[in-house]
Amino acid sequence: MRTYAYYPGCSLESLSMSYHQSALETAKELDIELREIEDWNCCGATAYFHADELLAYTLVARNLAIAEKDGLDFVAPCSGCYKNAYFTNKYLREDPELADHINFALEADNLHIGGTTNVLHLIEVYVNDIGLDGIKNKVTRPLKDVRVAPYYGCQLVRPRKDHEDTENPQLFEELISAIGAEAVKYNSKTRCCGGSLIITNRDAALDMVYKLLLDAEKNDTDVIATICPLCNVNLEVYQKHVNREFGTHFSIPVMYFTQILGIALGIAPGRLGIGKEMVSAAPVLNILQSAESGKPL
Amino acid sequence: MAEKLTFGKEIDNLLYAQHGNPIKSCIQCGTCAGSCPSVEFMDHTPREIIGLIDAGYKEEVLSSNTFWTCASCYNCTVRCPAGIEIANLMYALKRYTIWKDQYGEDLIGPKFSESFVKMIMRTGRSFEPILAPSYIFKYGAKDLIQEAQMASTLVLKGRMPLLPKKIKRLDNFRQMVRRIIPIGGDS
Repeated sequence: MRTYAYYPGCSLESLSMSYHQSALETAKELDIELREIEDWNCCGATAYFHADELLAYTLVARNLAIAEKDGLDFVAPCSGCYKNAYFTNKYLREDPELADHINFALEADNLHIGGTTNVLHLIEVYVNDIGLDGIKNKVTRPLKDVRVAPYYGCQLVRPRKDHEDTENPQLFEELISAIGAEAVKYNSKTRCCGGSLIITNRDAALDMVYKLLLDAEKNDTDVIATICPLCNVNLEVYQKHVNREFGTHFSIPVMYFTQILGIALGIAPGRLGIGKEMVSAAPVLNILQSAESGKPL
Repeated sequence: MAEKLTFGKEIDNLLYAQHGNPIKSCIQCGTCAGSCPSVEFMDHTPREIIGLIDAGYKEEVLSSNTFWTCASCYNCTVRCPAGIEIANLMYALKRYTIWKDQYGEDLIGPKFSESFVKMIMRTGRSFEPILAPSYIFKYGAKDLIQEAQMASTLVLKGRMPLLPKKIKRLDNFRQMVRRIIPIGGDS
């Protein structure tokens, strides 16, 4: 069984705890171990990078250094944490002076970073490491007739890391097809949800969420699948705010990709944290139930 | 005599770690403005901000809301034909105005960032309910009520713990931070 250093991030301890639950449940089902990084700290989100760059790298480096001690790859389910960890790791590898400076700070917690760990997003572990065939083999309840809109958001694909396709990535669609669902084609799949502007510039963020929901609805979406807690909260918890602001009547379920995958793997919805939504996910479960001639999930 | 540092050069220097191209390489094509999902809420488009920096309009740039309206989505960065790290430039401008204590009074962003930093120093982790007081007073009465209703629903659904988590080696953590920035600390 392959083991990863798992960095849940702060959101998965509160608003997005169902992402945490469904990540652990699906990992177990797919025979990998997500071993939580001992005594991890906040990655600095975006706010710390507004205040001090070096300090923000240091916060991220502490988590990476703890993962390195165990010789494990670092995996984050949050795209923000993932982006911070990926690029901090990269800058430290490329810039020995920066690494020296940060290692001096890390000594205070008896840690050292050498840049030897690999940083991955959870969806990369599932699609690339376990692989689509590995997942297909474990599907017991294909999501037939469910139209899933893959919502990539920003930071899995941007900034560019290598030569990957930042405009039209495909791994999420591939995962959706592997679990028997239909991937919705829509233009907004990598358009920003507003991120932390939901707190600091509400008007701008609600406008961004509105445009995403509109595009998903126009393309007959049964459920939007997300790979980031902040995207999920903006699209789901703030859907009511959007309706009030724009006079719309959106009621589009938004679920973590691990929840959708979990259903396909035959895991009971309750164990995936389903039922804690502000926009009910019941319509999605109902499609499956009627497809299975009324048998409850 | 040392050459006087222009505003453009000063901002370039803030982008050191990212190794992007200097602001001078901008061709003013407007791809950034056309790719930005929050541009209509900015008083200057990203293209204009880069032009203003290059032309040395420091006050105009620093008093702009543009960089605090940037959601850090990096769409401009990946599309820029001149290879400028535009989103990181927005970060650099945010830091610059926080350091110089020179930002628009009505902006929530800088206050949010400051309370975020203080919170991390206290517990090592982020916790939404503690952050709220720093910006919530900016909202109107109607928004406040909606916010309170939302928070109580989230608590009832078990999505909002009432106590923040602390990391265990908090003393080491604070010492680590002090090694980077000698001020601050136990606040």
